[in-house]
Amino acid sequence: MMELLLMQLSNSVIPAGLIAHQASTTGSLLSDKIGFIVLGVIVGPVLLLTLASIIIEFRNKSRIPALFLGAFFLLIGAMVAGFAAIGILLKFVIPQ
Amino acid sequence: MKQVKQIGRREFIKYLAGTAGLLLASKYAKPAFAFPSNREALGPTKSEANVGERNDGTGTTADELKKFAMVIDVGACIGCRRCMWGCKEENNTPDSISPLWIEVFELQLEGGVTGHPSPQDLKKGVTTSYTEAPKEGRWYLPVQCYHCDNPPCVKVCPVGATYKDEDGLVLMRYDRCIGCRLCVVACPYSARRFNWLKPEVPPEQINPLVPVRPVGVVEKCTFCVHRTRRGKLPRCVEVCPVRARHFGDLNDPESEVAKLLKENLSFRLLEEANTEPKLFYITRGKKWTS
Amino acid sequence: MDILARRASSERATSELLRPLLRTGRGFYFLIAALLILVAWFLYAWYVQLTQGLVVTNMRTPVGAAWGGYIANFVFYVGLAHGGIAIAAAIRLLNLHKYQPVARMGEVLTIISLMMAGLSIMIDMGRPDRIFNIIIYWPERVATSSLTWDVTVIILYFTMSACYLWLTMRKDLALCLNRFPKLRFLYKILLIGYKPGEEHTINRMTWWLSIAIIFLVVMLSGGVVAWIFGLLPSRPGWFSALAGPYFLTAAISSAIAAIIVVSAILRRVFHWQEHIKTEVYSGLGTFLGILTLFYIYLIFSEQLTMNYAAPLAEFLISVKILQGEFAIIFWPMLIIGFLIPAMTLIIQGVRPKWFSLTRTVTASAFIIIAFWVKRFLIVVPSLLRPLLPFPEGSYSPSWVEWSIIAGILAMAVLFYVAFLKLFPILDLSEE
Repeated sequence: MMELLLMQLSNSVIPAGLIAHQASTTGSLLSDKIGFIVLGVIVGPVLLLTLASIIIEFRNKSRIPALFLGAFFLLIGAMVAGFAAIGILLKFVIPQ
Repeated sequence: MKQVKQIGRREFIKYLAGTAGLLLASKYAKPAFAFPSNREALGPTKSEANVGERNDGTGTTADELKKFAMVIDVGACIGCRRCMWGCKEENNTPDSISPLWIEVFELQLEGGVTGHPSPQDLKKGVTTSYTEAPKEGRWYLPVQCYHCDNPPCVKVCPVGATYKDEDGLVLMRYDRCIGCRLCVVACPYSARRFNWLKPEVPPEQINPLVPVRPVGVVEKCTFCVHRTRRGKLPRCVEVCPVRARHFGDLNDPESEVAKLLKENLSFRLLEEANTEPKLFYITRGKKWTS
Repeated sequence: MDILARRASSERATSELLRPLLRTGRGFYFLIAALLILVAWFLYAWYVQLTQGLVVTNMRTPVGAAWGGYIANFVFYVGLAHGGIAIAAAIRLLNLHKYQPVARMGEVLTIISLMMAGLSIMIDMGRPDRIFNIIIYWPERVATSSLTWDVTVIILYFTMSACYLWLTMRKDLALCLNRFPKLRFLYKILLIGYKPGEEHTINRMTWWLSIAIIFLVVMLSGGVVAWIFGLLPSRPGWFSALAGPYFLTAAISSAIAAIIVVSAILRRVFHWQEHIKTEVYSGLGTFLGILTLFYIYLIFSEQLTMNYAAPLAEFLISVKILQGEFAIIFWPMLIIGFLIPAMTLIIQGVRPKWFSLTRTVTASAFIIIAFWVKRFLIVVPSLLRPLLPFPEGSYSPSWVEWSIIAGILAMAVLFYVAFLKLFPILDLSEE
């Protein structure tokens, strides 16, 4: 704090640095974890709606929710595996 | 408005020679004096720079009590560009990185930048050009990565290849970088460079303390982390002939940078960008000539 | 019992609907040959890029543009990928059943476009061999990186859309299970756990899913993709709250236009005039016209903001676009690519007597191309003038970039044709 005060005293122009410093320390909740808020807003409703349909049909004793979930995770797994496979393949092409 | 000049044959040849000279100068220029080389003075270290996890390849770790910053006296800077070339030598920067990590702008007193390469030179890939400095009526502004306290580049990196360490330095993990260049577009100071092709550095010129980067990764000024964490100065600070550059620990009230900032008016670039850069400019104008 | 009765009564209709699977004309082989040549050329260009590095593109930094044709391509294909679900939502949520015939065409477009978007990104990376790092460091980076959010939402959207397509396709696969012996094995796999009558469950589920996916549309094109650009004050012209609605409108417009063009081509090639009525096109065309007009308003709003009392950086970018080196593509794009097609479509909508399918399809084609150009104009000009006084650079794609962009399009068409030859693209049963 002391050096900031001294900087402010010696800066006869607008102490923009001080203002910026205060701004970043007060708003820090948002800056550091903003991704959780963003993805929460996006994935949250999607998850809720999908879960709603799954639970409703599950109660109707249908196999479809299980099929859907199976396909869903299978696809994601396949994509992740695909990334790994492409990575390994390309290691032979790109000069390391 | 561009001025169209009619060029005669003699002028054309002079222009060609001049451009060739410029190209040669920008590619191979080494100033005609010797740098004091502190490389040996750093003591025994690993002979091969390993590019590992949180160590930047130099086997050092951050001292969290420190907060490194740099102060540049633009009144003193004569635009000689020795900081640029010294940095290139120290950090194994290949010729394919252009502009270099440090860029020195030549500015007119009444505002406006001069000394840019001509559009033809730009097309040939020359991005830095100067013939001699200092010029009459010009002042010089060196820019490089400012190791911001609120760095947008660190925020956007999808793999954490660039990170802010505890002593305030913003560093790179070259083995993680996927080359997406989001950090490059996020930096308001255009401080980051990208390896568009595989860097070639002659083996005899390689500094073993600094990793030679692979193709397709981003790099930038590291405040010479391999030197500064061992108590030495960054190369650019060391080679400046007029001692316009100062480096040190802001948390230490006795350090050169803390004292300079207390005693001088200072400014930073793009203050409103809220990046909190750690390179301050002062205009004291004190040139050291000895 | 239901299905058998329906099948018996519409046997001839079914053969028409299955025409792509039943017949293979000579034109098909020519098309495949041409596409394979383009794809081979694309693979060669990509190989050159992989071995020599991205220096073979014309991207450069900080003098020049760090991003170029590939990123424009990525945003473009993400945009195209919204058509499928837009149609599906219109049908299920708004009960606009007249669009049912083009539903699956749109959904297939979605899946393929998303794959091409992902491919464009991978090709733009300096180290695609490290692409798995995005997965490894996801937990660490999701808190702050806009690119991580983008990857998350795209993967989620792709998976939901693929599952949606699969679920809604099953009833038609069941109907032609025995017609194509060569495909029977493939159909059996996709029909795992099939019970006759499951359509009712699937219809109920997909009602919810279409709401979820439509929400993802807004948050993808008008969200994470836009925020990669819109949240960065380092680039004048990008930093704007308008980025979300801007990208979203562009996405849905280009997607609807793509559905019009693709379905019209298929309708013509396979003589499906009876099954895809022109009312589909008058509806879609009018909607497209209105959206495109709205987009022109957004362009106007953006350029006005960058001109009136704008900071120097924004002002100079706007000058670049309106008067400078990009004016030569901006104004034709605006007038010939957006304004005239939009007016045509709206006038046709207001005066149904003047409706012409050819005019609608042509207008849509122009709009699609104009949107690719617009994505390019979003990405590139803002990168050419840094905030610090570096020299200004220039950018236009190199032969490698054009080859790859063309090759990606060829691959998209190839995949689409492959789907046509493997699965029914039209609904086989009346709902």
